[in-house]
Amino acid sequence: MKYKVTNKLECSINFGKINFKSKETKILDVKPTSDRFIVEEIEQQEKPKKIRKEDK
Amino acid sequence: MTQPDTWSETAKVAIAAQSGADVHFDSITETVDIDIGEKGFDVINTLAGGRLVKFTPQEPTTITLEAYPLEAGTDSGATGEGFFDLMNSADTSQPVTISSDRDRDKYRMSIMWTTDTASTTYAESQIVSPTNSCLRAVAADGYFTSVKPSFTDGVLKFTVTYKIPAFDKSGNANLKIESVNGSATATLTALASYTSSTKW
Repeated sequence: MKYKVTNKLECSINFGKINFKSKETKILDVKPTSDRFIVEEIEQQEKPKKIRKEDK
Repeated sequence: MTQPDTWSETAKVAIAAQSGADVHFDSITETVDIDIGEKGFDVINTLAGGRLVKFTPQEPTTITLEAYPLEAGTDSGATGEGFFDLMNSADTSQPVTISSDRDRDKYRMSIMWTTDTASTTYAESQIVSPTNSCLRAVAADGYFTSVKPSFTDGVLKFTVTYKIPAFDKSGNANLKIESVNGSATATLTALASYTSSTKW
C-alpha cells in the first residue's frame, strides 16, 4: 500500500528523515500517524500478468 | 458569575503553527511572563526650557514560558510535549529528532485566564458572558527565539522565549488583549484557525 501524504502546515516539517516543505505532497510506503499530514491511501493497480508462451 | 478578585493559579496556553491546530501547553507550563513592547518616546530639550516629545516605534513584545516538557517536540496531537520543534523544523514521528536549521516559522500564542473550568475550554476557545469571564492575550506572527533547558535545580526546566513585532509588514496588529467581565451579555469568540492570512 502506498500513501499520498500532504503537509498541512505552512512551514517545513520532517517525517523522520523525509522533509516536507509547506503544503508539499509526497508518495510514501509508510502511513504517518501525525495529524500534521493529510494522508490518502493510493490503490495500486494490479500489474498485468505476463502471458506465457504456452497460453498463446 | 462574578469576576474573581484576581486571576490566579491557573491559565491556559495554546500555540499554533500557520495552518496547524492549536497545541495546548498549560499542563507542562509553570510560569508565563508577557513583556509588552514599550511604546516609548525620546525628549528633546528646547532652549526655552520646554520639552518636545519624539515618539519611538513600539518595541517587540516578548513572552517567556517556564516549562517542564519530556520530549524534544510535539510529533502529533493537540497536547504540547516539547519546544525545540517551535524553533526548528518539527519532526512528526517517533523517535522525535530535531536538528538545528535556518527555518524561521511563524507561530501564534494565546494565553487565557478564565472562570470557565470546563476541560474542553482552551486558550483559543469561546467564552460566554454572563456565564463566565476571562482575560486573553493573543500574539500572532511571532517567532520562537530561544529554548533554554536548565538542570541546575535538579529538575529539567525549559525557558522558552517567543518574540513578536507589534505590527506586520502591512501595519496590521500582531498583538491583542481582550476580555469579558462576566456581567454583561457578551461573547468572546473563539480564535479562528491561524493561517498566513488570518491571525485570529
